Amino acid sequence: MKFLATGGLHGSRGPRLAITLCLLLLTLFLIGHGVRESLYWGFSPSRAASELTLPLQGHSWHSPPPGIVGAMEDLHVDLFLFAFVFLFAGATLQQLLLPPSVRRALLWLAGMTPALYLLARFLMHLFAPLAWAALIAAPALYGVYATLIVLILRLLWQKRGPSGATL
Amino acid sequence: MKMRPPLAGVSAIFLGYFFLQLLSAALLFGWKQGFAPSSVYEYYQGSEAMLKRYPDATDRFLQARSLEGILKAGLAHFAVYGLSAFTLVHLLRSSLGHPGRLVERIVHSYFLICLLELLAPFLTRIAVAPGEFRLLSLGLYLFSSAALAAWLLRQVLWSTSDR
Repeated sequence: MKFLATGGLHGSRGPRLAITLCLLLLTLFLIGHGVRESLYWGFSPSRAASELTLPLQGHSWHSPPPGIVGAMEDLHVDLFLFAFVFLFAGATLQQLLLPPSVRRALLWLAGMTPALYLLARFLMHLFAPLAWAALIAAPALYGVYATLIVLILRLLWQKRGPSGATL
Repeated sequence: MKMRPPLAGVSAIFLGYFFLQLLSAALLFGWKQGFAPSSVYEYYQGSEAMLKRYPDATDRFLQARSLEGILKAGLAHFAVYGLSAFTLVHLLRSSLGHPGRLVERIVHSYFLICLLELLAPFLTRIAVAPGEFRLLSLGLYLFSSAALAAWLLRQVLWSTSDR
């Protein structure tokens, strides 16, 4: 989304400072999200199985167990939040000079890891073994975004980009 | 030289999230309100009022929803619908290059459908609009959102413009 950046990303009059401050807030969002998730299920498959996984017997897709509605609400909100976090990070990354293969890999990781985590996190309420998938996806999600934020900040504040990069 | 529009990968992944969100919205609606006009009406007006309008329906012993409760859920959705609709439309218009008048009309209609969908819970509660109206607004919103997203996905995956 080009309207995110009017002018050269690296220029002193460009949106570099605004993007940096936004990334700092996104860092707080990720930390807060991690803490919330830690409080919710402690990243513990056994705790998820004993406390969160709901019995499916006697229920169908149109009359699910009561707890699943809350989990779906969490998923619904998180999908929106991560869609826009991804859109912002992806759009910024797109405008920095990076080798195309590296950029493509980062975009895929940034797009897929939240989706995998959020879906596994929701489905573990129905199928306990999927808590293991959520457990694996969680560090991937936070790790990818931490790397992405550091990389964007580094490229933004370099004296010159890899090849004197501007927009 | 032909190439894909900028941000093709970002847009495609964003659309994946968008489709999942529509799906989760439909499921939440179905679980909370149901897809029958009577159950939707009951959700907003309570069981007693529902049985007066739909005497043959079975009730769930629900109280009428408070306006405060509807506003609490609706408030966040006003911001979210605005952002989502703008992003979807912005990406679609960018991928089309020079959108014609028809596209502009579709875009404006989409915003009107979003507005209708946002106001529908209040209209069902305050103006006692029937459950059919609420279901129609939801159907219109889900269909138009999915159609615009599918259109954008098609542009992203198969467009050969060099913008």
